[in-house]
Amino acid sequence: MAESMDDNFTVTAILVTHDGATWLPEVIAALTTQSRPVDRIFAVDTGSHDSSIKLLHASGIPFVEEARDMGYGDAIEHALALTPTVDESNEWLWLIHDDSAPARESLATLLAAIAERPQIAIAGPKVRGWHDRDHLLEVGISIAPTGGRYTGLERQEQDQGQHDEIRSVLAVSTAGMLVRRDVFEKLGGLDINLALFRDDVDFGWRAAVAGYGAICVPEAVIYHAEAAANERRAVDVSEAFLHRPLLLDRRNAAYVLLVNSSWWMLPWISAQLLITSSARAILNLLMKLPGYAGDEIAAVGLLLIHPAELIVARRQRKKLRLLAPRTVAPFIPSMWSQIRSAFDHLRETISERLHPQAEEAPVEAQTLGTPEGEIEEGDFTTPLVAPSILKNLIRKPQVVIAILIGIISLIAARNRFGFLSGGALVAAPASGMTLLRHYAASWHLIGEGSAAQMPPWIAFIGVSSIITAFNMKLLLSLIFIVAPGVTYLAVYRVLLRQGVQRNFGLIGAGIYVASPLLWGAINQGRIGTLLVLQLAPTLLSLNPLSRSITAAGTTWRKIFALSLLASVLFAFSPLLLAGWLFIQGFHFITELIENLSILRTGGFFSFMESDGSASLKRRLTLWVTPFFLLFPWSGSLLRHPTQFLLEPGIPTPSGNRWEIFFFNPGGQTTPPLWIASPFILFLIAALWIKQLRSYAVMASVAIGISLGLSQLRVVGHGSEGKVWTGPIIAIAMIVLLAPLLRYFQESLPHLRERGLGAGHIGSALLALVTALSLIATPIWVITSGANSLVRGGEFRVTPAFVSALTQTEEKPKTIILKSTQDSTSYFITRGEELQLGDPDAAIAMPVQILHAMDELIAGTGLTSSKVLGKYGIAYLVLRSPVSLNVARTIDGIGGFIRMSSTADGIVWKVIGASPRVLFTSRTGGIQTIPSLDISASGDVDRPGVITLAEKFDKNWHLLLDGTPIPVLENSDGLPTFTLPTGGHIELSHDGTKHRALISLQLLVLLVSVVMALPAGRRRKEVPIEELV
Amino acid sequence: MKTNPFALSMLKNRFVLSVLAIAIGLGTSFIIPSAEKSATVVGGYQATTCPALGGGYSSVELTNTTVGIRPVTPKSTKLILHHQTFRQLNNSPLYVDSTFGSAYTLTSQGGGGGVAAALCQPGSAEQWFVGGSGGLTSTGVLEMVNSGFSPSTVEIHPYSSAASLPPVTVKIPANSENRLRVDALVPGDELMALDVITRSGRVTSFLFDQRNKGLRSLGMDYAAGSAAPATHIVIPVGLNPSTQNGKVANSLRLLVPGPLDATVTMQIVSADGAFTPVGFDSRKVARGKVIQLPINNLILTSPFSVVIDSDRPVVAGLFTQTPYGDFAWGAATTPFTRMALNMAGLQPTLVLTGSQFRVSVQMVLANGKRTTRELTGDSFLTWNPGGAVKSLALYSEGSKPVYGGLLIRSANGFTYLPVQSNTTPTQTLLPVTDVHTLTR
Repeated sequence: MAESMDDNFTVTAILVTHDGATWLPEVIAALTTQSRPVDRIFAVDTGSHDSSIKLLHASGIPFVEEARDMGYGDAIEHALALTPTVDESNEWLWLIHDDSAPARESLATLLAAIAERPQIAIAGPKVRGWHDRDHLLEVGISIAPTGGRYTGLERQEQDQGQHDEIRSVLAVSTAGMLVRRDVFEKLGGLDINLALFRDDVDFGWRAAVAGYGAICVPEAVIYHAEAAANERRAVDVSEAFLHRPLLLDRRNAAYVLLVNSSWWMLPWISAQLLITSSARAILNLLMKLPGYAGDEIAAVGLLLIHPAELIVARRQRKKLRLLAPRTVAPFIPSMWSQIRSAFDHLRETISERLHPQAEEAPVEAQTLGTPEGEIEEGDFTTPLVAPSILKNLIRKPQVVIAILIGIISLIAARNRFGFLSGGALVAAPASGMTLLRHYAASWHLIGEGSAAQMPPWIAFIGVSSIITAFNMKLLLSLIFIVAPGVTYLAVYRVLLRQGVQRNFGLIGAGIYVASPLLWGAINQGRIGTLLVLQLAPTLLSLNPLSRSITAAGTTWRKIFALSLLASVLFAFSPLLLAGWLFIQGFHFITELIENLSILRTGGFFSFMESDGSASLKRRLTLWVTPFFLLFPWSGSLLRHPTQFLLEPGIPTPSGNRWEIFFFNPGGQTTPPLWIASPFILFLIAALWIKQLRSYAVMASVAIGISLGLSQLRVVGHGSEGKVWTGPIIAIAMIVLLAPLLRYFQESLPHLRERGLGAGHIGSALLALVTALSLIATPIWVITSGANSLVRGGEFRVTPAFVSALTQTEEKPKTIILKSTQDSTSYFITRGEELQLGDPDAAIAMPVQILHAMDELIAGTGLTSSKVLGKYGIAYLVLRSPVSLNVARTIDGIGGFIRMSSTADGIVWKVIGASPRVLFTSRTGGIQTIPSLDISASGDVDRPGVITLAEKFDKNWHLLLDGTPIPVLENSDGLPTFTLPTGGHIELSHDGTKHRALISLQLLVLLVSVVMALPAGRRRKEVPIEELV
Repeated sequence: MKTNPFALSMLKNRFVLSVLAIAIGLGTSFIIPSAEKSATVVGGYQATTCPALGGGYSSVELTNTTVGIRPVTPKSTKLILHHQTFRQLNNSPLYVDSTFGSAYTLTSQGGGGGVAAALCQPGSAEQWFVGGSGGLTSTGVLEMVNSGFSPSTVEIHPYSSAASLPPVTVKIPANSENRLRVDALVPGDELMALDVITRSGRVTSFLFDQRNKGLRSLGMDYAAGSAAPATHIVIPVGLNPSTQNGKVANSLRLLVPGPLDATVTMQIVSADGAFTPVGFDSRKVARGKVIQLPINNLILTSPFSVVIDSDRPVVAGLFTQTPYGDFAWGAATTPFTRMALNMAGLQPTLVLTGSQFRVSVQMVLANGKRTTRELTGDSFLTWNPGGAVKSLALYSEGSKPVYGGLLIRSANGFTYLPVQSNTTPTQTLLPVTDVHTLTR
């Protein structure tokens, strides 16, 4: 077999086959036609079920058949046993997989390289793809501390000779590895614990610390199908639990790291392995690949259940180690390079998703700033002109306009920098985490306490604060400043998607942003309406309320994506949630009735296979998913339906019916009515133009509902006010905008050709009003519009000394009174200022307090102070400007001692106010139990009654020495616990049910997100051409 | 039921549908009551406090027998029903629970020692007293009654004929009173005015002026709390110096409390017509100093009213002294809308001043019968209800303001009683829970 060689090497090629008939003919051909012939070829077949054995027979290669579950290392060992050494000093082994075909010059090139480098014991070729032969797979390999197989190459990197230098590497793939036989045997060959995968890296690592070098010789090429890794054939080795390649790969990666690393690095490596395995498992779950997720977790688990294996392997390596393990450090990628690489990968993926055309775009289109055709192909002398930012901006006028709007918004916001509050908006807490804690809490310290469910928008805003490093105040300021610009871009994009031309889109988005609704929402602190204005155009453009949702036209992914988007929107506008539930419910019932005949005639199973069933399932999902995503808050809305009519924040006065008729929500600090919104003319035009009347009907219904609800007064969120119908007006605006713009862009050219008529007059009027709106609104916004209800700067209503007292064990409460000529109002504070979400959780005060306050202000409440005191209200503050009549009445009523009278107001102390948690013994002795926000603990030495100065709720639990004591409501409406003996007490509000509901919500969210995300593909589902 | 095809076709017409949707919405918005924030109002009458000064025989005249009363003393906290329409006073002021009609304290000293009367008053944030004297012959007292159950703080700003004096702060314990001699506030000065400001608590103040010359009493009266400083003020009643009344002397006490001097014009309105006495037309009055101007050469056939107009806010009081050993202080009042009081056997003269006024008088006669009388007039009217009237109620039914006062005469002397609207029902807006209270 061997011909006379120019070199002194003896090369024994060992080919291991396992169901590799697909690739084997080419592999054998490549092996036998090397320019430098192989001296000896021996094959091992590990129980192939295909025609591999026949092919080996036919090729004349000597081979041996082994068990199907034999690992690659074992197979090599068996082969070596059957091929005795022929040249002890210069014999080399060439390991070949049955799916890897070396190029004709490979062996010669490899031998030439090692001939010049006597210190080298391992050499490997450059590995390229089997199908795409320019696809560069490996130029040497290593392992990342996270267990990833590290090649140092980019994704889908094409071979253009960029790596064609011989380089030292940690290891090379066993597909094409040329290794000195004596070294191979001295090192114990491939680790038999690594039956498949990572045995190459492990061997390279062991060789490196034993003082042997490895190189990659890129001039030598091998084409590799990576059949096992790409799941093109079963992995049958005995170590492959459940025959899962990924599981084996991950397990072996962890094994390699744990047996080869320095002992002091093990904790760090273990931690990294655990974290990255968990992260990868989560990512796989999100990509709907639960099997892969399980592999990631099981891989670590498999190692942990066999620690002895690791210990033995480390002992064996120690015997052969001559150099410190740090020798391999240069080949191990740093953690930061891994993170950078992961981010690059993520960025590329997102970029491809967002701009799928970029990859397909012609080359000249990508040479930004260079006029087409200026550079001839192959002209490398003309310098490339760097893309000009200005030119780019001119090409994107929407960005220029958005920036301009941002500047206007910034000028308008000059009085509301810093801590925003006012109107419907209350101040944000310092951190977004506080909001998340509030969302998860079962008891809220607002008023006399509340077990109401916080709305999900609190959690949404809290999570969004990640972008400002959880700085809520900054986030809130940003939301209000950038809202107009962002809305402009969002609407512009939607308009283009709906077939509106660019110029009309620019104007249309401008009309939308110049609407009184948007600026009214900003000035009145209506964060919900701002979000609706930004998100609703996108949602409606996806047509979620369409009458037909076919299985062919609407994928499940789209259904869940729509549900998620709708849920975010509805979290900010329960009014729109009500509309959604009604319309989708109506569609569902209608479709169900239509499909009843199929159900009757064909039966249930026949119906389930029909198109109607597919549509119904999608409709049902679309109907209920937002509801469950917003659960348990949405459930509380069903229990208290009037709460559907409340916007986030405090009810704030809105406009009268005529303002709403003109698409102006009204209320304080909204643009005046004379800055007419062109939308009323749009509505009239849509009514006039026959083909737009369906849109006119939708908009009219929206405006009709808005008008009908606008004068309704609703109690909730700690106040009472008229229904804010801004979100419905927004829907009417969105419904009209795109169709009108499309109509005008089509009809305006024809208008020039026609004689003067109603069309001309109408168009001129519309243009005039639109121009007035676009010019007058920005002027108003930066002048009188800047004096909004929302103001910047910290605002404190509770006197500092009262706030300080809230940190004491008694946790006193304070009633803040405000008296004007028209009304006297009050609310209870715990000392801290009102924070975002607090009003939304506020519920009605106990009737006892209401009566006490009525009597106090009427001047007849001789017992008012006693009642207030029982509820733990220790102070009464009359805010400035002080009503002397009210002050005199309180002074005269008794039970209140005036403590101070300053420019900020008058403070009274309530005589005999109870602490928050009070123990009263049977003999009448009292003791204060120290309390925290929703818990208290202490010791009592005798029987008595614990009274909690909070609103009664059955979830207040008390344990007396571990024994639960039932909660009772006393005659004052306070929760009490009767203690039969003394002992240690633990009082808390039980949030188990609440937490369970939140967990359910998170589960629904997770499922929805997973369903909405693009599905990942198992490697075996990816066409092999795409992989290699 | 047969479907109307025209109606069906109209409903299918999108134009009609659109207009209908908006019309229904608009209509609904009109149907829904669009009242502003719902508020509950409780009606009632303010509780009042009656003074107990002057010694002699003092009683509080109540309008009905079912009203709760209690003496203002630290130990007395519960209301009692007296079942009579008068209550003799000891040394403690009396708290009269809210009721229709005005109670008043009537004090008389036998042997022509004088008569004094004062309307019981609700607690007030600020009261002006233009009257009294810190002179040697005067033993005036400022009584401050804290009828509330919390301690109170009162600030007294005295004015003398020379200047405004440093304020005096007085603390009054809950449900008790404090009395200050006015000669301690304005020592030695015959001319004085007081501005009593209640800083905290429900306090009602009364100024009692009593004068003696040796052992001889010169009379006594309450200087009623005056209306707040204004540019147009009316003192509704003054006793006329006539040929029959002999040497009745009237003088006008004035104070300009603001930072600028004022130009004041005073007019006398009586059944004889309206005129400005000599020296009272555009008279310059220096700021911050109390002056008292005698109204000389005044001969009238009826009681009179004093109308003062000024370019700066002023306060004023009318001092009337008779040669029979009594005097009275007339105070500026606000227009009244309704008032009811127990006549207590008195036969006062009602004086009404205003432009085109109409006042309905409802009387309960001594025999229990009820009768109504309508008084109409322009500029000025006096009316005497006669001796058979047990109680009377006055209702201003015109649209223009009308000022009223009662001139009470008895064998022991005379006094003025203003007809004031503190007897009108008060409305308290019950508070509402509103989280806006905690925000800007």
